[in-house]
Amino acid sequence: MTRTATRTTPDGDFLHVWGSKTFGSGLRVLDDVDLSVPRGSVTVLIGPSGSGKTTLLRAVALLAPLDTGCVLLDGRLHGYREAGDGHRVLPERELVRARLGVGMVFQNFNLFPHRTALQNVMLAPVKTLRRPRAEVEEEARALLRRVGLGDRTDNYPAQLSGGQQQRVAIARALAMRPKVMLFDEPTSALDPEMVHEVLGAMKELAESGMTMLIASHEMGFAREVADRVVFMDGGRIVEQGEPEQFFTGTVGPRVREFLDKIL
Amino acid sequence: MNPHPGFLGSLTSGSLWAAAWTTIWLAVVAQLLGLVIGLVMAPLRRSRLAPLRWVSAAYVWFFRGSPELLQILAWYSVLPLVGVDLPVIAVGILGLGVNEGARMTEIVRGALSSVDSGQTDAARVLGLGPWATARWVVLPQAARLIIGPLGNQMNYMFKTTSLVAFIGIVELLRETQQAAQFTNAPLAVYLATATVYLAITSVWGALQRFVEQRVAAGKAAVGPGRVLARRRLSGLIEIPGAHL
Repeated sequence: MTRTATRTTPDGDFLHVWGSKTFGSGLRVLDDVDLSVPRGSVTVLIGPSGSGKTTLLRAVALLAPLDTGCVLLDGRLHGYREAGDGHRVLPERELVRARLGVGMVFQNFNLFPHRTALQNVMLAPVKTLRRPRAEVEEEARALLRRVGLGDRTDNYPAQLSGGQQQRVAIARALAMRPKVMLFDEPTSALDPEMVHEVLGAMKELAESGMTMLIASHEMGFAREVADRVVFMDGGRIVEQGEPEQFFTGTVGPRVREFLDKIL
Repeated sequence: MNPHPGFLGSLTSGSLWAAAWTTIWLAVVAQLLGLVIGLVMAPLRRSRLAPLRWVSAAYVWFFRGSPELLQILAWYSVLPLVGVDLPVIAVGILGLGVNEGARMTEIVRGALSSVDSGQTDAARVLGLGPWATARWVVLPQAARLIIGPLGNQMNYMFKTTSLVAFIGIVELLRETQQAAQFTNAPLAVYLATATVYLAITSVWGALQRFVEQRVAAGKAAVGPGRVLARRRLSGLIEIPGAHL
């Protein structure tokens, strides 16, 4: 499958993010991180809460840009410009367009409650890409079928289960044809019996060759689907490697301690 | 002194209903002005530019913190001094509407801030700019929260319009005062006027309950019937963004 092909021939830095970020309170939430994600690969971020996983994803999505450092996507600066010997984030006006290359799925789904599943998926392609409605609708229906919700297009979010809502959120992100998909703990807010349907959709996406960066504690999923696992703690990337490493015990004590707690 | 017309005579007087009509349209126009001001001033309060926030805060502080009657009288006497010569009815609308705008600003601000920040995150990641996010994501959700308080404010406004009697606009109160002067039974005249006010606010109350039930039905959205109810409502009150 594509997955295997990309696994053996990753082409380096498809997504590359490095830098630091400090919150107003003086808390250093990202401390000199440096992360590369090869094209078509799946990277799973693990680590205790407050370790900076969400902040890293929000930095890549340009929702909360880095203080120092930069994001590179597909060989280009993503939301940043050169400034002196470093980089500076673009003004908000220009970030609006810059954000288009990256799709994101949130822990709490964040579907628009006043719009049906289909309308959720169609909104951005119609309003921001200004694509013809008929074409967008056809594509949106296909995306909803792809995540197994072809018969739920006219339901409002409140009429869908958590797992279904999260799959709509995945379809909504895909409708913008992102180069990278970010997932921020996509199954943490779900009842256990709904976790697998969301992971199933994500696995299918991975197999189609999508580049994915996922904050998740689903270690079974990481073992099966991920190309790399990255462990964060205290705003730093402490360890990274292939998933098997994390299971066969060749990891440092902090990672070991964390894994013992969640497995 | 004329023979007194009695309660029914007062209630069926053409001039009373003409005045009632003035009260109604004055209240509706002033409330609309207040709503528009609120929709402009509330987002300013959340602006990234500090001076815009200050303008909004100062506006609310001033107009919510001083008596409405004083404001109306002030508009009435100050505008001609600065060379603005408006018909008195326009001064009335301005006085009522600008005052109401301060309260609507607070109502709209509350509604905007109760829309979850995850909604704007999702919109921004999808490439929606600030305007598109407001138009398609935040305002439609805030609108549901504004409708209830807006209805209550409209109810108050029907009665608050009586203040413009002080600058000579012949609405219900002024008409009543005039009618009462020419009768030896003012109580019947006042009762007739009270009846008209009650009729106005009662009809409005019924309308308000109807709309609120429909909004609640849309919010619950638990079955196909509810969805249909919500769609009918969308057409009725034009919740922005209800259709793609």
